[in-house]
Amino acid sequence: MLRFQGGDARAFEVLVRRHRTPVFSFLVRLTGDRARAEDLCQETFLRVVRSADGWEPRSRFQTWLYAIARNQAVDDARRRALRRAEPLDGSPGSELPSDDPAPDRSAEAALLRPVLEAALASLPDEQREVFLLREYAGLRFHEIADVTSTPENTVKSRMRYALEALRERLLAAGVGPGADAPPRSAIP
Amino acid sequence: MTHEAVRDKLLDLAYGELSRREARPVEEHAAACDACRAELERIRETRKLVSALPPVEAPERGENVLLAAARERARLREPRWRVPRWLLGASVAAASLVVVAAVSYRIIAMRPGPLGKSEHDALLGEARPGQEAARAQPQAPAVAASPAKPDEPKGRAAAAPTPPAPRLAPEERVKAHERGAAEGATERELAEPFRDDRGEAPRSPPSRAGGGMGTGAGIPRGDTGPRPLPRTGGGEGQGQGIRQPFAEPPPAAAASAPPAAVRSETFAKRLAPEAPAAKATAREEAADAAVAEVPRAQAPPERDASRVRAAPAAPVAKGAPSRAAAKAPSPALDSEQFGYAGRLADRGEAQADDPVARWQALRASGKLTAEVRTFSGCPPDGPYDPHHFRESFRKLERDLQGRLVRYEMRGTIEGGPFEAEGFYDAAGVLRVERWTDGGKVSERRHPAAGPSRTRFPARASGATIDAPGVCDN
Repeated sequence: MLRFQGGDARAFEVLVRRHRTPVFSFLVRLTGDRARAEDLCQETFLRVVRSADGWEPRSRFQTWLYAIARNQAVDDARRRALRRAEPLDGSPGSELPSDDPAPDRSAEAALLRPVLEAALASLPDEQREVFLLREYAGLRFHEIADVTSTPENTVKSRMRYALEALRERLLAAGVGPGADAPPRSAIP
Repeated sequence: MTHEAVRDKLLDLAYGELSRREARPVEEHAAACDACRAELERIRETRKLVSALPPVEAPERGENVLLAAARERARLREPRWRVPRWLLGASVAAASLVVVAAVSYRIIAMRPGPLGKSEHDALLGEARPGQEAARAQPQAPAVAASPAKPDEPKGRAAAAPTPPAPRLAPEERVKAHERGAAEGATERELAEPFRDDRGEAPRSPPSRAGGGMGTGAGIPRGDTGPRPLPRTGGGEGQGQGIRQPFAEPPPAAAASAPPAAVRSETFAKRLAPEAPAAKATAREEAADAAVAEVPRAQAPPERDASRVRAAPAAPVAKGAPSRAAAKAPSPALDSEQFGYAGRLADRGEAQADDPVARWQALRASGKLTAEVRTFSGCPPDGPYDPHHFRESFRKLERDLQGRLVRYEMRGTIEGGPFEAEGFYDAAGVLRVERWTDGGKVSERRHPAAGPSRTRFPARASGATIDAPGVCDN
């Protein structure tokens, strides 16, 4: 990012290659809408380009990046709510990218994925947001507190609820500790 | 650690956000407590399950638009960088020239020149008495005003007021040198006596004779300048180094006491509010002592030759010169021994609201303890996220009560080195950050409530030397 601030456009290319997929994953799972997530991801990186001068090396780039992405998603949800469109807390499960080409993962993971996506999609927004930022984006709890403007203790409480809820739903779907793959009945 | 406190930390432990020191009691409690162990196990199992969820690959489309926007921004920035870089290079070159010129001047000024005939004679003790007396007279006020004056041992050069002397005694040569120092002799003049005293073991270089190293040829050696001689006891060093071989009466208290008084006065000025009265008294005593010696000038065994020569001017010098001499060391001490904090303290300014000044004051008074830790490396980079921020060095400085005062970090940001320091106020809140990274130095000051976003622990309570080194993606 420093190099990009200094005028090196190729450095931004590296940033895009490095962070685009994690940010896109976060937005897809946060909004439950792949098309919206694409737009939001694009807008997030364009905002990075426009606001590059505002980034300071002392703050972690990832925190800054996810704060932009999350704010984009929240603003978009508000706009849609005003237009009586589907709000952010709609039921996103049906629009999850289940037909995405699976990456090179184990077969068990491929089988688990729809169950996990559904369990994740069933979480309340604020819990899903915290869970995604901690588990997949790798932000620390205090950084999530910064990004979401929420006290750190509240962030941790949401994380505990999210983990408990996920565990219950996965167990209800037949996925539990020691299970290598969900029962066939759980696979849509 | 209580059961509730441990339960609050289980999540941090499962996500690796605790340092080794913080993690140990939590793990020990969890090992002994069924409920905590079960909860920790549940968190870890759930994490293991959800880790199977792979990232959703971003589509390729749209990437070209992003890269084009980035190139456009980079193109717009280019002209803004060329001028500062050029100016920076020119500035560095100009500064280097100035430094080289200054050093060259100093070196040339220090080289001894050829010895003139009259000077040679004088230094060999063959000067006519009249010349010697004529040279001695105008120097008196300067000598009297010099803070180095008390260094000179009493009871030597008893014959100094006696005009004719066929050849200067060795100690007189020394005095000739000292006079030179007092009246503004050149470096060459000051150097010559030492050339002739080959039989004397410790040949003090001209630099010890009144800070001559810093004085160019022909520059008067006034004693009010910021030279280090008065404050560091250079006069003492000079006197002792030269006089010892002559088995003179030891300088003893008379030689050392006045500089000590000057020093104690200077310390008292800063360290104790009531000191000015004592300081004034000390100066008055010093001045009085200088004058009191004038009548005693007729008692040869007790006299100092330079003071004898100063006798006619002494009444005039009673007040101003001696005070000026006593005051002269103060500025140098202020700036060099106490620095910024010393000057602040001198003005009685409170440092409570300035954590940088607080740290400087504590450092100046030696009331800081420090912990240092280095970090050898980060774990391997992830598939998408190479490490962006790597911490390699950490230093925590605390006051004697254990309160964090300064937090220093070093490492790399995107491969480039950085240095950062954070200053905490007495309430333990991070108030000032200074960063040197990417060739830029920046400072950020925070309100009393602390920062909203920072790399440092926002509160001193969150700072520990044991926390793992930061390796951010």
